[in-house]
Amino acid sequence: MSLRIEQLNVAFGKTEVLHEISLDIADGEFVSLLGASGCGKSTLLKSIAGLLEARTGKIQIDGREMNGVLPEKRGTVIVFQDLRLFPHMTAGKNIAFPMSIQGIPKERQKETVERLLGQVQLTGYENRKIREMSGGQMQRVALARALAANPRLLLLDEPFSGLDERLRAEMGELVRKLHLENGLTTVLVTHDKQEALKFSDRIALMSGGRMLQYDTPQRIFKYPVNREVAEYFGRMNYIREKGQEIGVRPFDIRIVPSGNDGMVKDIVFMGETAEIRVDTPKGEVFCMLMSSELEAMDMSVGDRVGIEILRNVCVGMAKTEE
Amino acid sequence: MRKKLTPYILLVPQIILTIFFLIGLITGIAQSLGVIPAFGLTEPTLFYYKEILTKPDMVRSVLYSLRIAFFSALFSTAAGVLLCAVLVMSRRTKGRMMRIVQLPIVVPHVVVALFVINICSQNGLLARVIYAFGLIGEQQEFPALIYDAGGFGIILAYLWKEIPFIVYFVIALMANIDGKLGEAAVNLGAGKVQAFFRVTLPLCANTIYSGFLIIFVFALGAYELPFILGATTPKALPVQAYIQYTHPDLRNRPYAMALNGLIMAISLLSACVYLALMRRSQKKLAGNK
Repeated sequence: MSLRIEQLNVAFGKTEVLHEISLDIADGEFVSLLGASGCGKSTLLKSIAGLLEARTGKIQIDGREMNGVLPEKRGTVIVFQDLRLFPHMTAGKNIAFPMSIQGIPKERQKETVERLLGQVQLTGYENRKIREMSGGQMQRVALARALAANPRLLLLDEPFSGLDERLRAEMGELVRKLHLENGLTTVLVTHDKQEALKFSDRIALMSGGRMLQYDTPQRIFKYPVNREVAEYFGRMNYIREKGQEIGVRPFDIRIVPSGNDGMVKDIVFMGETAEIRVDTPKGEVFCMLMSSELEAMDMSVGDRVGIEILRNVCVGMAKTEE
Repeated sequence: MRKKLTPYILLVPQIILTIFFLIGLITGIAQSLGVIPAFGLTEPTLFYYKEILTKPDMVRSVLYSLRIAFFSALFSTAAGVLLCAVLVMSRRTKGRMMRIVQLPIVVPHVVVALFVINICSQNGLLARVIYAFGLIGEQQEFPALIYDAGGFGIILAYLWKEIPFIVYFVIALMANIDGKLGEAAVNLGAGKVQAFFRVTLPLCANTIYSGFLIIFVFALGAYELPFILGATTPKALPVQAYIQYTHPDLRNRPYAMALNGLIMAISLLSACVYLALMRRSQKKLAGNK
């Protein structure tokens, strides 16, 4: 199914929290709503699901206008950040809940619960109580329950935020797999840029209730529309070259030990990588390189080095560059 | 040293009150077992308990009190939960609406009794309105809603005050559950009413039962409403206990204490059930993150 949002404005009382949001999501796409806490991502998700009323603007699902359509009639399902599993039901009953609402026969419910538990790698957990499950297992049950509702549009509201890094990555892969296997259209709310870049077909970067840029991961990374977008995806250097200011990411600067562009001011070892700050006549340059490269260079603070810009980021040129 | 002593010093008022309470309680229990040395009663006996549980007028009092307490609690709880449901589903759980709903809680029971007399007696407001509409020919035709053997007037007075109590007791939890888990149920395709009955209400059940128990125990032990609005016979347990306590024959005092003992035993049992329900509720809700 496809989703189209046009000029959406949402307010809490007198405070407008979403301003002029427009977004097109094609059938089968995986889109991430990316942004810092409080930027309006979750509000947008709830507006799509019909849990919040839009002040103005349009939401269309498969070409059908959704303004005034009740949440339960929209075919959208949210997996909430706090999961909201029903604590008085077992894992199996949680998953069967949307099917029992739809009046699906018990036998079919049971088959679907077993299949979905298998898909989220929780086979045999039907009768497990929610409080007896770990955080990761609860996430899986929440995902299975959302899928049991047979959604046309799956909305994920930072569902992995409470998990450790390893489990987070694992769950991300699982979501991507379920998205592909079930032919879903998925919207993931996240503030983790790596998660968004890794799993999404397109990323919508939001700030202060506005959409800053909506593009593919490659393009949003290479051609950010402004400094805010560029800096969201990592630290930037802004260097003056031939009268023009260019944006360069730390990994796109090569340090040449035999050169003489500046002096090494600081070296920070970070495990696999290392951060190096070089003082140059054009200002301070921040570089990153692999720790193994740093070792091979045998460089220390105070050394004179050269810097070579490998590629620059075209800040503010997203529309003209292709 | 002073720091170490501070918590104990702060506890002193509570300890003094507890000591007084325990002295009263132990004396009461001892007297209910027929031990009042000042009146020449020294042998402990269960005679007075046997009497109140077998003597016809006493048994009638016990049953009358239990019936009033049970129906007051049942109807208050049912109506209170219904009102809660309406408020929660219409998202009016805060602000002016709640203040209006909870207003009767601050009105004393004696005042409520006077309201009930003024409104529901055979020459009260309701009877006059019905008479004015020609639905009854004289005031005697209006049903005896107060001073009746069924305790209808007493139950009515309890409803007036305890329905808002149930709203006050349940609504915060209900609104919280409905706002989160109810929303999740709606998001999964349930209608608002379905979400309420399948998710919100079951998760509030233990708190609702607890509210029922509080009203039940209160109505069982309260004196003023049965005294003002109750029938001549049967008399409610606390009224009967008071009569026995103030009886000219001081050797009747163990009857009063045995009646109090019965109220206490039922209250204690209810308190245990209340505690178990609250623990179960906490456990149930702890399942959700």
